[in-house]
Amino acid sequence: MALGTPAEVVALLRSHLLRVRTALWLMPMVYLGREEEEAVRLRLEAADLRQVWLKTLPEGTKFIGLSPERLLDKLDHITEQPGTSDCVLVYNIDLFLARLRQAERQTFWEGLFTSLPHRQRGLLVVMPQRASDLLPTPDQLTLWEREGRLAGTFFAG
Amino acid sequence: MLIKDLVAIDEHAEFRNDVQLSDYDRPETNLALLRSYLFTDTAPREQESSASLLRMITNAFSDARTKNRFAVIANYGHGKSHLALVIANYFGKPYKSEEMRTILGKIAQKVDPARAAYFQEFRQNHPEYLVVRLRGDAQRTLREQFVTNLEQVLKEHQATRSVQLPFWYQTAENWLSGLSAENVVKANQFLEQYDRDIPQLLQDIRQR
Repeated sequence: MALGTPAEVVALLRSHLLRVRTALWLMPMVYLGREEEEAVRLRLEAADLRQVWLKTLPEGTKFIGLSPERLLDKLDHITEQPGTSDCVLVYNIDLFLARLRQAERQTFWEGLFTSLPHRQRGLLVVMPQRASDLLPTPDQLTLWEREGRLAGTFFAG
Repeated sequence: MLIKDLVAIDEHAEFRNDVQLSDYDRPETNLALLRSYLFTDTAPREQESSASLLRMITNAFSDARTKNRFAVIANYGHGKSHLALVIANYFGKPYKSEEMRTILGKIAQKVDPARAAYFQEFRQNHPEYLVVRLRGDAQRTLREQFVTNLEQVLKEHQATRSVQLPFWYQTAENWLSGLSAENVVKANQFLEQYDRDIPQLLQDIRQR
């Protein structure tokens, strides 16, 4: 699979050539926990989805009301908010995906690929590279890659 | 004779592929997008120009026998959302607003004076319409969006600001908010099987 570098993918997100300015970054384990640093390096705003979600919960609830539609809705909300950058790096989404059923995850990934056209801000969604059970199917990943919306990180040597 | 004697360039017109109907709610962006719109007055056979489409919609309001449902079909990037935004402003903004002045100016640039006068007179003679703006690319269904949007639109106009929709939401909210502590515990026990509780239900009702 020919992945773009995060910088290349972010440049594409910023170019406004895409109808849907959403991309996926398959992040190696060693980068996990450093998402905010990586966001700064790429001149992106970082959004921890856990914090975004917590802010929207009603007081006193024990549940987050998770569904693929709500997950997409939260991401949509991020794209429509004014912020410090025209693109946002979203992380910790894997925690939510782990709670969904397989079919729901597929619904989410299909939705994420097509359903946020012409948004105010682009999205770079971070997923752990090794979380194969949570990732889109190989066929879906090929579609992300074909549009230049799939980033990976390469190590020299 | 020079070319400039025959044609005029709209220096504000711009090709935009990032227009959303929700830009209506961002006054500066909205006005900038209206300024960048360019009406068309001619179209290939069996297609409609944007000026013609606007005329068809105004006709639908003027004559009850005229069809009043329209589906606008075009490929990605051909200006559907931009046109929708212009139409929403044309019907939704006050006649003396900057938005309306901009749109009427755009029409006057493109269509002959008699037809341009029709568009001006139509709005001069009709107060603002309630334009419910539903989006196919939102995460909620059109049905789910409708009530929220209708409430928002009612608040946008002086004449309708105080209208309360006679729906069940307020009654449900009052009822749930008034549950005794004992009944809240019972209700939460029941709702747990659906990963829900009373605070979540209340939030759903408030957000429609």
